[in-house]
Amino acid sequence: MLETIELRKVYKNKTAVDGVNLYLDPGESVGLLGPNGAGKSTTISMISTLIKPTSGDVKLNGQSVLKHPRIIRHELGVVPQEIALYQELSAVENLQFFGRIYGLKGKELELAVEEVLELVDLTDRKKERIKTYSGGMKRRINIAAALMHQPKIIIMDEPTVGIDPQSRNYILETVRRLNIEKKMTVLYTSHYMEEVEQLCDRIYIMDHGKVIASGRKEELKSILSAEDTIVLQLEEPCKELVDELKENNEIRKVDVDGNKTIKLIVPKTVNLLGHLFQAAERHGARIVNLNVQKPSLEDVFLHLTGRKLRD
Amino acid sequence: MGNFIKKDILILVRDRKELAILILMPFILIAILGFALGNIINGDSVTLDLNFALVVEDDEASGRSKVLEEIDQSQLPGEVKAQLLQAAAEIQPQAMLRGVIDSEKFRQLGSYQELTLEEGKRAIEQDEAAVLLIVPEDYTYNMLRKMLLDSGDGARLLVESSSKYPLSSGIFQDVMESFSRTVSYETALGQISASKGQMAVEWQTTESPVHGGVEFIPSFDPIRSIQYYTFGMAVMFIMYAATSIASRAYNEKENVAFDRIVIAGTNPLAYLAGKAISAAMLVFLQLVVLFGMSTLCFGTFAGKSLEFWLALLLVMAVLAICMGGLAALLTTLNFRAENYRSTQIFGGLFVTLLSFLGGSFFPTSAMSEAISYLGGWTPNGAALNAFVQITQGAGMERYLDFIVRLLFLSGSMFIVSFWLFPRRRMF
Ligand SMILES: Nc1ncnc2c1ncn2[C@@H]1O[C@H](COP(=O)(O)OP(=O)(O)OP(=O)(O)O)[C@@H](O)[C@H]1O
Ligand SMILES: [Mg+2]
Repeated sequence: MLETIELRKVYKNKTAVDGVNLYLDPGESVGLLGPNGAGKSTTISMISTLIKPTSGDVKLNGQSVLKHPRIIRHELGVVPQEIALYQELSAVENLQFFGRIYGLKGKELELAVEEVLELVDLTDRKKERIKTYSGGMKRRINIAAALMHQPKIIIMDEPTVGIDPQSRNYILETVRRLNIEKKMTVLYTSHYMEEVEQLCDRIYIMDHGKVIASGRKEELKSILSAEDTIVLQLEEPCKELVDELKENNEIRKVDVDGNKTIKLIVPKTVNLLGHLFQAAERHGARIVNLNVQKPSLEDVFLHLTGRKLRD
Repeated sequence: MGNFIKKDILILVRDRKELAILILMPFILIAILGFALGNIINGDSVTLDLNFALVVEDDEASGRSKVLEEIDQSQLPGEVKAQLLQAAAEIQPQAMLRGVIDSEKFRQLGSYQELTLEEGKRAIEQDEAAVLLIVPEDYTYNMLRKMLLDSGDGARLLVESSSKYPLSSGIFQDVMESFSRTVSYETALGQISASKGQMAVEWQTTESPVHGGVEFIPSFDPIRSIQYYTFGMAVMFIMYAATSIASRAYNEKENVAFDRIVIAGTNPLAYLAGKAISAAMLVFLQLVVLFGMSTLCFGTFAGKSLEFWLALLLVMAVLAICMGGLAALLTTLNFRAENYRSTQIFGGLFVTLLSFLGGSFFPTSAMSEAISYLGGWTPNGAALNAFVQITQGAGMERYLDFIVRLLFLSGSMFIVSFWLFPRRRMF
């Protein structure tokens, strides 16, 4: 229903989005994952016609959104990364304002306000000004404001940044309900792997403006199915050991976490353990703990980029 | 559109700090400036260089003899009669007045020359004198008669002023009125006894003042300092209202509420028009509140005619539109530059500069022709001039020019801002 074709955005000296192709089928819940500066928000802004792509196109049901921006207005709801609300106004006043700009009025507007307030469970505080709300509640109203006109597609740009775990779970639950009960198509942007893992059927991973991997969760993880992740904990940091492991061609990736924890990605076919203990002994490093893990999406990202999602 | 305007005004009005700046601050300044200059006779710091003319029509000798005759023919007991006769012979109304205008304090206001009525009228017409103070015929007679026999309306002074120095003549009026309130039988006797070194005669007088007040030649009302500063501060602080709307518009872009508005399909120019209308309505409201509060608390425009209020409303409306244009212009500049600099510079520097040029702090006509001319082309200065003319009771022909200037300024600001506003939905 919605797709982007070779979407690119070049700023003066920086390519923010570099040939992104993605699509959303009706009723799907899709994750867009990437570290800071990957180009997620820029992609969303182009989809929602806020900024003009340098090249490429966005299509809604086969029609170019660039040529006919009007067609996407009522179909699309966007939850921005920032709290795009008026702090001096109450929740109801904010929702009424954003409903009216979509042409809602009278009874219809009133009902829409009630409905979205119920959805984010803030009906009992609706008369209070936004500035008196907690961070989590502001985020919830930020979502509610994008739902006033009952869009078919909702795009959320990191709707859970900077809030407590409880509010976060609440928001995730709300998104899930929108997707399952209201049959909304969801594009969920985040740099929290576990949120996307929990919510989405399909995932795009972006880095440096490009989609570096995409597919169903299982497909992505199977990239690593031929590999093991070995987590090794040392008593004391040992640089010599790390250096030796890095020089070993059989090991795909070495990642040092907090000096004492070393994460290794190794092909299943290679039996490394014996070699590992020998090397540790040689450098006088004591291994406290050793763990062979199933790959997570985090590991997929690490595998693909050599970097972690969050630094 | 109503949706946008309602939201903008609601947001501003709910901000206490903003309200303090837009309403409370100008109000306090009106009170301070209005009274600091109004009570100039009690203070001694301000020099006005007021050039005025004194015309004495009063014949003291004949006035006195008429009163002596009336006392003599009255039914009063002999002893009282004798005392009154003595008082009537000694009290010198003209000398009391001269005592005031020759005093050290009064000389700081300005100097005067004594002219005949004809000469005085000419001096006023040719702007050689700012004010004409006329001591009318029967001044002595009316004052003594009121003072000693408590009959008649008391003495009056006539003041006629040149329209070129509205504020100076307003201050002159305030000074003369405070003189007329303090003149009483006691002060008159005090003056005599002080000069003769003897105790005052005991005598019960009425509480009412012996002076019937100061009367103004109706061709033209001088503006009083409280009125002047009510206008001066109002035209200054409405510029902050326009600035505030513009900087809040940029807030809206920063926190991407503006993006939501654009995503919903609102034409950016309609958005800009909304800002202009919000600012215009807010400014109009601000003017109404300031003029209203000033009148309620200080009686600034109490008793003014319907004609006055209608003319005032007309200028207020045009000025409000002009401030809508200013808000649109500042909004556009902020959006173009993608920062708050335009509103910061305007609010921090330009408002003060324009207010100075426009005469919000003191009338520029007293300063220099060039500044006065320049000030007349600022939106605040043009409006202030129009307000002053209206308060002086001038006809439309005297302030139409300023209304035209305001419309011209509004038009220019609207054209520039709508032309430059990032119009394309996608930028
Ligand atoms: N207006 C702009 N001018 C120049 N560069 C820009 C502009 N907007 C974004 N960029 C750059 O484009 C890149 C992508 O930014 P974008 O905001 O899309 O990243 P993101 O994936 O949303 O990151 P985050 O997780 O921090 O929100 C960044 O390097 C950013 O600095
Ligand atoms: Mg972002």
